[in-house]
Amino acid sequence: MRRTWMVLTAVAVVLMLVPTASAGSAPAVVSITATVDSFAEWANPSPGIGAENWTGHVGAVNQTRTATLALTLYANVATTITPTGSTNSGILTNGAETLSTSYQITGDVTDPDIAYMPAGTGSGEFFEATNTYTVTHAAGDGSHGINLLVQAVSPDNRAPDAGDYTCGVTLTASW
Amino acid sequence: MRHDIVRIAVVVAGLICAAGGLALGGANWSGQPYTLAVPDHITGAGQAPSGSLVMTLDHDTPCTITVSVAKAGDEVLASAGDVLVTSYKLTGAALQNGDADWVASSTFLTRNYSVPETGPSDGITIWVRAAASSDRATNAGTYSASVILTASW
Repeated sequence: MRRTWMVLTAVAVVLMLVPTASAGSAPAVVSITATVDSFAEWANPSPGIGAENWTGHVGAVNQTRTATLALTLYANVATTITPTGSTNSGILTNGAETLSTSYQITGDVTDPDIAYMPAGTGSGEFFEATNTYTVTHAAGDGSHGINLLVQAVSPDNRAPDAGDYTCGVTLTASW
Repeated sequence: MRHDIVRIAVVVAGLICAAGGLALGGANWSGQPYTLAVPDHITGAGQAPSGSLVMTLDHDTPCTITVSVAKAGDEVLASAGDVLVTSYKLTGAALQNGDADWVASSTFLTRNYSVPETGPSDGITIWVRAAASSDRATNAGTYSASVILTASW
């Protein structure tokens, strides 16, 4: 009798203590961050103007030809564009021969040019150190269209040498 | 009589000890709170840096991991109206169906990951990739997102 009572008690206790497997869940919140720095970059860092981009070949004295290069500046911050002459100091050159070369910047700049400026670093010239262009930025507007216009004029008193005339311009975006 | 009481006490004590040795089925993430900062900053259009975080799942039962958010859109890295294209991966040896490739943030919320074994402790790695637009400069700033990984059993 005592043994039976003892066994029953033990079974009851076991039933009370045996854990029951119950469903459950445990959440974990993961907080994530990423950082975008201020930057500006040209969509095409090495664009070019080829012979096919001009309004035509020079075929006479005192003849004007122009070309326009559409550039895209990606910027998420106010940016300053500074032009400098690179190859042949930005003057269209063929050996010892040159064409009168001038430029304009238009597009998404606060003060676009309304006339061509001669290539050169002197006062009032395109590559003068103080000749810069400002691109303002508004949140969400990270793409800006900038146009570089170039004009070539042949001499008015003789025929320039035939051939390809080349030069280079660097537009530096800084912020 | 006194001997019987002693015997009962011994048996009950033994049963308690035995019962105490049985583990209750369950799971828990240890090491919270979890924060994942993508280490490389975005400094140009089209860049897509990524980062990862190892989370520890303590469990003694098979379980399933699901992904959710506290409010719609929390899974996308956002800052003042701008967003980064956000992708995720969940990996780890304990996962029966871990991700081999990046999963779009919206798809990530539909994923269920099976943890068939019983631990006791497994490393689960969450990966995130933040991709900037390739056709403009994304706004500068710190972008935030938040996801909830729930282990269920």
